[in-house]
Amino acid sequence: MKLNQLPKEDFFKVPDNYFDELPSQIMKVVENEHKIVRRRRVVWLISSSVAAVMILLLGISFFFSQNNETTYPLLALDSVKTEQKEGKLSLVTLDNDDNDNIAESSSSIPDKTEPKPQPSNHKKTSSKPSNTDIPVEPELDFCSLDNQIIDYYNEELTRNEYYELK
Amino acid sequence: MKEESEDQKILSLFADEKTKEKAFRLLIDKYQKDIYYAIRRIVYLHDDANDVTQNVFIKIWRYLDKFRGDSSLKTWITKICVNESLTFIEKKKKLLNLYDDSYTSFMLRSVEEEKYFSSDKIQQILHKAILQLPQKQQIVFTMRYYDETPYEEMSKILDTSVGALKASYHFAVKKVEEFIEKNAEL
Repeated sequence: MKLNQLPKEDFFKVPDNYFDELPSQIMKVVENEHKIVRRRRVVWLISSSVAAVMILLLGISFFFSQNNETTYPLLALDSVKTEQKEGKLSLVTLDNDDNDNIAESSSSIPDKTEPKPQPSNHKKTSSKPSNTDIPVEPELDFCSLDNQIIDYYNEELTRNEYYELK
Repeated sequence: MKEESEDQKILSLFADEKTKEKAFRLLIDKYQKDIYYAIRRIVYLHDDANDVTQNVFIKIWRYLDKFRGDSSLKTWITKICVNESLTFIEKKKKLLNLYDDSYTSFMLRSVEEEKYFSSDKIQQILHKAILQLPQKQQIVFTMRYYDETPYEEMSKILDTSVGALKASYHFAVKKVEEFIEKNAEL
């Protein structure tokens, strides 16, 4: 029997009203799918935002912890330099040997042999140096200074007194 | 031309979020029967065809905005139908622990028992003959015999050359005619 002799009937049957109900059935399924996709997107958005904030916070804390480690020694050195500039560091208790040691270890501290005294500061000096936090003007021990410095101070003091009197 | 302009209208409406749902309803109205029967001719059972039809519509909803227009919308949709149906059959075979031969026997029994088939005897014999064919040859045969799908379009749907499809259809017709001749006499 040849195929073209057979009638082309539809062999497949469907339930009554199947194609009338199918569109609403499909739309329900698609809407559910759409809701799931939207919910997934929201969850993804929230979780990625939280992750981004966490990474940012970690980054910031890491950055500051790194910065603090490097700035502490610098701050200490700066404070030493500042105190030194202001003449707050005591030269009184240092002898020549100590001074040589310091000169070897740090080039930033000037040589004791060529001190640049500040007459205006020294003039106000009245108390002994102390270990407390409050910086105190050191009392100069003239015995340990060179004659040249003594002369300089004497001359300067005399000059200041002279101007004050005048 | 009318069909293409209708498809263009559906696609342009689907591209806009406000009219997306309306476009999809138009698409369902236009293609629901084509989709259902394309699937039914591969999976055979109504309940299975209903499940696969829903899956196909979900796929169309998800990916229609990525349709590039390389082929017609109908070709694109038919390709989804074929792929989804074949995936469904593979899953069913694994689930029921059936191999190719035992699956054919299972389907032949189902054709006799299920109510959503024509009771016409010669039609039953014809479909039993189709079920004996290898899976891909079944698809080639039904597409050509029932829908008279052009070979060029079938080539795009099945990713097979026109020559191979012609040969496949020729062998399928021979096998079906032999089967009917044998079984119609009984």
